[in-house]
Amino acid sequence: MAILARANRRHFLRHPLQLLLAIIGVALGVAMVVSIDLAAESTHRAFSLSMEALTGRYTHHITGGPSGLPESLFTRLRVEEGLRETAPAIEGYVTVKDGSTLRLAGFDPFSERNLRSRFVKAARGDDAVRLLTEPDTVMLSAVTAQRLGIHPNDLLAITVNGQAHQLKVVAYVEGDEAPDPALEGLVLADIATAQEFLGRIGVLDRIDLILGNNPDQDRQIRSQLPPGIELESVAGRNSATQNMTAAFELNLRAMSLLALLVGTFLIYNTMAFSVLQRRELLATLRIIGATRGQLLREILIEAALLGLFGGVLGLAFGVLAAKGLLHMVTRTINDLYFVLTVTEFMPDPLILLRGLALGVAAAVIAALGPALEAAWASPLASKARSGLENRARRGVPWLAVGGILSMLIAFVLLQTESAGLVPAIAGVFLLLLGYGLLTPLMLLGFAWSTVVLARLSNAWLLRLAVRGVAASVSRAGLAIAALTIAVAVSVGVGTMIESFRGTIAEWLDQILQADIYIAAPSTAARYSPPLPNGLPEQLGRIDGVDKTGTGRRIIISTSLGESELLALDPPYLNQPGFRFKQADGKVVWSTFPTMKAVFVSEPYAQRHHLKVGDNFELVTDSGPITLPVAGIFFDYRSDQGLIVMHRSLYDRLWKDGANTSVGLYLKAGADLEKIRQAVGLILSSQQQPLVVRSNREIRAASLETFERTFAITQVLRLLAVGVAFVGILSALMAFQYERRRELAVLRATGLTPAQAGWLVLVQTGFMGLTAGLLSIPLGLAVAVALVRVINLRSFGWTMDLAVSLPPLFAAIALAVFAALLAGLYPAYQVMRVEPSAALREE
Amino acid sequence: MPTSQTIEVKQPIPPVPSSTPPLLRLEGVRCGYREAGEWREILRGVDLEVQAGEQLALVGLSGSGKSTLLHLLGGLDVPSAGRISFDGFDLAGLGEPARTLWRRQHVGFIYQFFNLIPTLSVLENVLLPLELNGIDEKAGREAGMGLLDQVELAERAGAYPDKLSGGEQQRVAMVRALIHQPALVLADEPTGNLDFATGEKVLDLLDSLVRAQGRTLIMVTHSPEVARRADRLIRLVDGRLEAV
Repeated sequence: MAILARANRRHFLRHPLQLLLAIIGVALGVAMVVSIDLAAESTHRAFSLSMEALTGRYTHHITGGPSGLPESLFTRLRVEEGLRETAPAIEGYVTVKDGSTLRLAGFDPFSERNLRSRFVKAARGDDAVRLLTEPDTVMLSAVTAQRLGIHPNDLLAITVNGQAHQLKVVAYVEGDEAPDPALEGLVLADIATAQEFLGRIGVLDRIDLILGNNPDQDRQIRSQLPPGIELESVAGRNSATQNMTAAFELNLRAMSLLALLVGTFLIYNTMAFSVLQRRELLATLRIIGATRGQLLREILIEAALLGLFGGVLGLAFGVLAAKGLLHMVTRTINDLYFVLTVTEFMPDPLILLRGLALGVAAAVIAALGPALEAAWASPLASKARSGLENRARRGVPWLAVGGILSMLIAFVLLQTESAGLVPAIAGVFLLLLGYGLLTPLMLLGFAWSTVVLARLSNAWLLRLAVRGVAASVSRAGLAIAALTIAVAVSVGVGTMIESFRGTIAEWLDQILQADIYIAAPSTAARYSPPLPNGLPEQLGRIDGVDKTGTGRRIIISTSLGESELLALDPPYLNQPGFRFKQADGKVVWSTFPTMKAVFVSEPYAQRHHLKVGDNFELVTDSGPITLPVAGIFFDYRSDQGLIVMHRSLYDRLWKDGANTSVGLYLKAGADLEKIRQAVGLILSSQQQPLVVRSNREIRAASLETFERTFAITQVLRLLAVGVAFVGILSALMAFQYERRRELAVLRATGLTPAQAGWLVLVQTGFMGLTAGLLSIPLGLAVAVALVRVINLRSFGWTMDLAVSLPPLFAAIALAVFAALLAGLYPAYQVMRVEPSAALREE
Repeated sequence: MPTSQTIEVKQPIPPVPSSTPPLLRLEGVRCGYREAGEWREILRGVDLEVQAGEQLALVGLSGSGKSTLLHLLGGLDVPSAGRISFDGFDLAGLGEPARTLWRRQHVGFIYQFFNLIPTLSVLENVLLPLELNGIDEKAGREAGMGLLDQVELAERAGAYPDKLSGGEQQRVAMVRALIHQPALVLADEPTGNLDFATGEKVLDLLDSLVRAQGRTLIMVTHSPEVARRADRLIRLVDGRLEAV
């Protein structure tokens, strides 16, 4: 290595803690981005692979409504229409002993042959014959079998629609070949066995077929399909399913980028400090003849190396964290969107490379400012610290102007409704950046007021401490800005979650009007098994039950894509079942039983740009029908949205007598427990296990799902604060290091070691307090942006902003605590310093 | 292979000219800075000629502009008016990058506080100017060790500056200033931070090395003893030069 490079690199080796903090800063930032990317990519990959495995070479599906497709349709298409490349399919979800959900797919070995390559093994040979000839036999994915400890000829205990069964695993789906991750979570059965277990004898979910790229053929097949039965392309259906999670993933990525931004602050801080520490060394190098370009190159190479080391460490952390995050992301997707089993975790080299590049780029960009400062400063001027602080102080108003401009752009981006989600997220980032730029000015104002107060109260240590902070605005301003942003994000996200929780609780109170609910246990998101016929009437006859209400949830095809439909039969019309967005709820609700229209939830309206009065087409058992939107209601059960219609209209359009849930409305003074027992007695006579829950239990379970959904956000929030803490620790150490001579002079003139230690803690405490106080307005602004803009544009949810004081006080306390904690080591160092040694150093 | 006497520099240093014309010529040099909105002039028209190989002592009261003049001569700063020519070409006409390249080839600096690079060993400090001039470490090593031997520090070549005494540090700084055989050596109070005996030893060495190599030395000093060693003594008073 060249001597010039050595002169600079060894500086870092002489300050290992500083080097370590910088590397940790980069590592944490990169780890967060990489872990989120890896987790999201793994779920994508798992989704694509499982879709590919299940759809094989098929290009289209024929699907029906809630009652499915008659088996006869398959025979007709294959025999009469000559569509040989077709196969029947039925799918459902079962749960196994470890609580995970598996996909039970019924297939026809005779129809499959070469169409689904991954089923080829299963479709041929003796194992396929066993599926057809032996009752209750299935094949299981080898990966899943290994996970569950199941071997061929073992029994697999499953629960489907609440009923327990034992299935015999005759073989692995893969046969003797290597376990295939794409088949993870798959239980394969003969179609008749699957129909039996899923309680859908004689019914198919879909018919898979291969069609050429021939629109005429598509049209011809469509024309021959009975009403309510649709032909759709596989690609379109898969992409629509995967798109459900787009906003969720984008929000996760935004959080991870935020961590990288805080990490970048940290690198900037480290590089700026290292340059300041070396200003005499750099000046000497310039005097000897090192050019500006040489110094600039050296510092940027240093930063790149730092980014590289931190990045590599970050990749290791990221891969480890991704394994944990993968579980959380998959659980959220399973809770909210669709069933997905991901156990296979493969670090994608491209993501790792991108993470590394991001770390290096962030480090180089962060170091650019200090590097330019070092290279462009005159060798004579760079020897003087006061010159730098004077320049920094002169720059404060300009930074503030930049900050205000940045916040104005943020305001415009957040206010422009048509701008979409990405500009809104950019708006939040600009808001944070702008406020960060404004921070040094606010720090000077706050310091000035504190000095005045300290003078009035004769608090000399406080005055001395605060003056010291204000005199080092270039360093203190940056540290405070980083801590302010991190705490503000924590406040913003916390307030958003709190607001969301409050809104959900209020919403649950509104929609859970019955006292007891009965439903079949659901094994998957967006899938609600039907109740036994006649059950609502039987339950309605229980003594003490005033009325019953029923609900039917199904997935239907519409002109806006696959949608969830809820058909309701509410017994009372005086109390609206929903809170409506635009109209008077009571008036709209009173017309519900007679209207030939639908209500749509806010996310549905937002996603499909629907307004009250707009029309769209629904595919029913009697053919397509166009219905108007009569009202838009607030709803938080799914960000995909929901269509609601009255049961009477549903019955006219669909030949489906089933119900998904029943609500029992009790008479005044009725004994809830006694009625519950009576319900239990009725249900015990049913073959299908059903779940009885009071509205309070449903409320608690819903809130639990809510907490689970936000668990990942909470983790990311904590990590962002963690990165900021490392940042403030590094900044404070740098800050105190620079003031060691001043402290040595103070010590020489009579300051005791304890007073010197206190001085440092008062300074760091003041910095923490400033950051804490400044973080509140920014945190609230971030909360408003998240609640009113980001959530609305991501998921279509409007929420009531709920601000409570305790979390705000907690945020201030957190900032002060973090700063004081970070100040402990510098305080200890200052107390140990020999004044003579520190003075001699100059 | 270069030796302590002959060092091959990739970018050739122009030959030091004979006594006429002068190596350095300053004509009407003015320099100052703006302070609280007002222009404060430090040098108010300095005229000076320095011959190659000459040793000059520059004295004056604190704040008289001695260091400013030294920085102008070393190309660290540019005059607000006037002309500084080195070997016939105008330094003030050079841009910052060109002045840096000129300085690294033709000037050696010695400071009161040594200004050694703390992260480099003694030998590395010495070899740094050679490296900046395009001579790699291996090629310059023999020359560096030779000069360190002359100042009795060869055995400390691997030590870091913080392990050396003040006198030793200044001797290293001296070798670093001379290793690339600059035409001009500028010393700003080189003994100001040393006791009398150590200072004398350092000056003896500096004198012998500079004279042996035929370099031009301009030395700022407050000490009459140090000033007496020079061939010529000039004094800065109120931003103007006076011959003593």
